[in-house]
Amino acid sequence: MMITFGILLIFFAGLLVMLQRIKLDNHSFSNYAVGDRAFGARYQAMSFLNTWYPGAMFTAFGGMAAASGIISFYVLVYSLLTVLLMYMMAKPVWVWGKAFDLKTQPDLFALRYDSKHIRTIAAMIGIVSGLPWLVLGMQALGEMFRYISLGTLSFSQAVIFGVIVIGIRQIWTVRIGMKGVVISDFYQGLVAYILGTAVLVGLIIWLVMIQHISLSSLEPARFYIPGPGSKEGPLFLFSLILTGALGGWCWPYIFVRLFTSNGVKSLKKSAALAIPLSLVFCGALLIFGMLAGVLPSVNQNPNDVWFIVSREAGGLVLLGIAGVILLAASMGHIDGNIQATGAQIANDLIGNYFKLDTRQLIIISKLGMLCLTILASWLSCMQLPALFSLAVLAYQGIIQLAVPQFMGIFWKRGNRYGAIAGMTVGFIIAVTLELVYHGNVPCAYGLTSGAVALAINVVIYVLFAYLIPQKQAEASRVQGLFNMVSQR
Amino acid sequence: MIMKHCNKFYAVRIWFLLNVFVSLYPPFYWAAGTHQPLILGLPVSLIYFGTVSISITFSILFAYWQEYLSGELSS
Repeated sequence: MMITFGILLIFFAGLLVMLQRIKLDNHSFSNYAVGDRAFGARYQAMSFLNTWYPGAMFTAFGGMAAASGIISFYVLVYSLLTVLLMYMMAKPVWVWGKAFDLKTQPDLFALRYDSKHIRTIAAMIGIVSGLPWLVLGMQALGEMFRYISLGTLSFSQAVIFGVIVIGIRQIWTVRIGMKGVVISDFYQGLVAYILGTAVLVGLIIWLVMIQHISLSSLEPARFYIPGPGSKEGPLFLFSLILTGALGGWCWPYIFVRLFTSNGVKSLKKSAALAIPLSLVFCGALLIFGMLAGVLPSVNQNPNDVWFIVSREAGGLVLLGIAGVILLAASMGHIDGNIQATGAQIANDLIGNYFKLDTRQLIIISKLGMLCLTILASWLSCMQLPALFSLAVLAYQGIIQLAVPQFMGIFWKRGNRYGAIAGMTVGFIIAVTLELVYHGNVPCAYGLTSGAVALAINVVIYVLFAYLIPQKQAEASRVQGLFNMVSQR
Repeated sequence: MIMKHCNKFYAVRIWFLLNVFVSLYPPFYWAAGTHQPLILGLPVSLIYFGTVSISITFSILFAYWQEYLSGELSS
């Protein structure tokens, strides 16, 4: 236990020293919320990866690869498609962000649709949907501490320990804001995805060379993709990839990465840097999971695959390193979530209805982050049997933001009525279908509740665009926004 | 020169669209997932996911490279 916790302590101390050295500068809310749009491609790439791939990748998706096999590769495909989307929308989003000092995702909605209320709706959906995932992230950290304590800590003790660690980390998130998040993401990202990939490749070699496991050792069922006649339905994989790729950019803490870059060039370069890293890291993780699934110890506890194999292959030292890698990945996701939510509370909820100066915005944002950290920490320590179902429900709901978001960025004709009606109806339908059918929507051929609602959402958006044409002034304003992008 | 640039621009867009199509069009993954013959010792479903993933990766690298060379990425 001394070895594993010692390795974690070295990493954590290094992180705190680095955070402490960052100069505190709260001269504007833009600085606090989007780091003054000052970050280059390397910081952007690592920041994106560290927010995109949480620690749960090693447990949930590693476990899925071990237990279910090839179907887990959907996460790789949708993660790469997400970067493709980033590349395509980098220019309009960054140009509008810079010109109008946009700081949050709902800010973009408010600009594109010239609506105050859409900002509130988008922020509410984002904040409410993000909470279950934040709690799950903290609990996953607890699971990690339980494992690396070698059974000394009970699950409840480990969760409390994890909450204390992440709570200490949040002192700097609250103090420094986005600048601290992005800089620490770089450090955490190097550990989680560069060191993480190296360890994964080493473990794959260990599985092949020492354990003599190869792809041909796996049962044929592990290479099965659900098609016609399957219990999941023929459109199941389509649904997972579509909602995953579109949904990625609906999370406020992912979307805000587009505003922290110092230009379109950096943003596009960051996509070019992030995508090979994403391919190698995620591909290695899934292949590792599939091969490790053959081990009897993993077969019984697939979600612990990362810890089990690390310990078997490299003893306590490698187990400690595995813990550090998971901690680094988890922190990036949790920090990003808390920071983005705090900014939204100040900017899009309270700031939407009251005139606030910079100081007030920053104070409210800090208070919001503090309250959220306390709330999520408290919830993490409780037994919440429906938490995972709530998280799935939240995902089906939040992807409804995709329609007004992407259609608004790429299509001039959409209007606020279609945007508000589409995403509200879509959200209600997605949540209702999920609550009633628990992921098995009848006659949907494997489409998830979110995908069914997404189709209705698009229809509503397009219908409103044609039934209620934009007024001349609004059409000129929107045309002006698009001209701004094409003239650069 | 302009023609050449336009061709590359459309080539990138078509490549992006093809990526999306191959990733999402169900008959592709049904064909890859229902039979299990091996190509060079690898299962077809793995080759399907691997090819799609590599194609998406290279399409973005190519897009960035051609935009960089053409001087479009000025800021």
